[in-house]
Amino acid sequence: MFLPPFLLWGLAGAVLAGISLGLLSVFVTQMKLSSLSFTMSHAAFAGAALGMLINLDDLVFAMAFALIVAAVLGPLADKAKLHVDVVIGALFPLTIALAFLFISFNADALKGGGMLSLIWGSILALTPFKVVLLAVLSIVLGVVVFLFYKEFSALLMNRKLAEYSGIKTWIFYDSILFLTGAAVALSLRLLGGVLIFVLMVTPAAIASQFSYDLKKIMIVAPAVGAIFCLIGFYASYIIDWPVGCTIAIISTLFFLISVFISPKRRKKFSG
Amino acid sequence: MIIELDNVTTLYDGANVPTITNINLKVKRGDFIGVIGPNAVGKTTLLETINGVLKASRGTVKVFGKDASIDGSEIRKKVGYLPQDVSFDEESPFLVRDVVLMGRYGAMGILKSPKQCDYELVFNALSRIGIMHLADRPVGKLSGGELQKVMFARTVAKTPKVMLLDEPFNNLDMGAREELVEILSKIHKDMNLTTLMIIHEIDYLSKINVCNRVVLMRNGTIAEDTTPTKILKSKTLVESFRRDH
Ligand SMILES: Nc1ncnc2c1ncn2[C@@H]1O[C@H](COP(=O)(O)OP(=O)(O)O)[C@@H](O)[C@H]1O
Ligand SMILES: [Mg+2]
Repeated sequence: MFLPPFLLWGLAGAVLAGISLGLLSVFVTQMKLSSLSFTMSHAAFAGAALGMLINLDDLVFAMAFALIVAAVLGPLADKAKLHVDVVIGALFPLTIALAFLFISFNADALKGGGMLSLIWGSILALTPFKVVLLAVLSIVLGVVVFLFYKEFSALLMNRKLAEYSGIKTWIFYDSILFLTGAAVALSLRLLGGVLIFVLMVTPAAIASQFSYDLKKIMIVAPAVGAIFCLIGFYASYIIDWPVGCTIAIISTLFFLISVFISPKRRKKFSG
Repeated sequence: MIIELDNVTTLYDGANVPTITNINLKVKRGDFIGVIGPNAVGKTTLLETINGVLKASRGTVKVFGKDASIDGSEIRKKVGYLPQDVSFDEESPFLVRDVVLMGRYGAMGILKSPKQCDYELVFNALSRIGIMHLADRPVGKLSGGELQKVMFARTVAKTPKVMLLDEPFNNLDMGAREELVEILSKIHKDMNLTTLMIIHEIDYLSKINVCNRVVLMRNGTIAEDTTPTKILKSKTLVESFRRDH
């Protein structure tokens, strides 16, 4: 409303990022992919830092790094062949180390330029092209989930049971990993490599405080994500804090409130 | 033959000895086979090899004439499999009616949404098994016995051609077991099914007279393939089974 016109693209991008990551957060939490997506977002962070260091497109590198992690860790997480947490624990320092290394190699970083905003996000980071891509991604995601809601809900409930019922679950599982990688890479510059993770868990965590109905959770979580990004974006503009930080703080605040007022928890206390 | 296993050996990834070895088994339409054997003998592995979730490392598995290592998901659309251990998060956002309906999702096919008749089959199954009152309960908040019945309803609502039941009496008390056996034998007949049921205790065989065949497993192989009466008459068999236990 009171934003200068050059920020309107960024605002639209923020809302789209909130919608797509919010919807994906339902999958991430229900399919126990939070450690996987945690590693994925930091790999994208390292990829973007590398892209910026060598003056090539950060988006392509972020996407490539995120998808490599998905391709390598996806099957492991899926078959539970080795403790995923162990792999994540080993990979997380590596991805962060690489990201910081690429940032430190970059002379611009010392001048406080674009590189540091890679860590905590920037309302100026989204180009119109990326916003259009985010819009395409949000639409594709929405359509895919709508068309195959039956299969996705079975996958979310229990992958083994879905497989027993005759669904070829790998197609749906892999497409979620792919879409998550794409959403992370596209919203990385806006939200920041370290803080993007908050939107991959919190919206679904809040939505599921209020319902046992997956359909409702899938509608509420993207709405919640969009609202957080909208408020966070304005707050960042007004008080001039990094946008990744404002969104993370708002999300966590609302999560705490939702846990406190959740009807599920109230029932538990009264027995 | 509805199910045909020809010299089947199954190895888990990373294991160096096969879990089941050289299994030959032919199952006719209408058979009700009890699969009995001590813990870790490979009973569950056998069922999962039949429905194609596990690929046989050697030999061929054919169900409805289709090769399970190629057409596994097609086979599973017509197989009602009741797995041994299922659990849900306490907060799982699914109601019992959803879980039972979802058993049908594979068979319904892609891009099709549930119809009136699907919902009717769900409620028929729930009422047949006597758990209509659980329909709107969150699935994560059930007791072990209730969940076991829900999973059985899911298997029935699927209207399968073949039922594979892995220790269906788990978590049920004596009364509930007897009830379930009655329902089971009735459903087997009414729905023209072919059923394989894993039973853990051999003594239980005498209490249920639903099986027309019994397969006794030992060390990953089929040690006996005979009738329940023969098994129960043969003291040596029962004793040797108890020793294995
Ligand atoms: N996913 C697996 N990977 C490796 N070994 C397994 C796996 N599942 C089962 N086994 C092993 O295979 C053997 C047979 O298991 P199972 O078929 O479940 O036996 P049963 O159902 O008769 O108790 C056991 O020794 C078990 O440890
Ligand atoms: Mg077993």
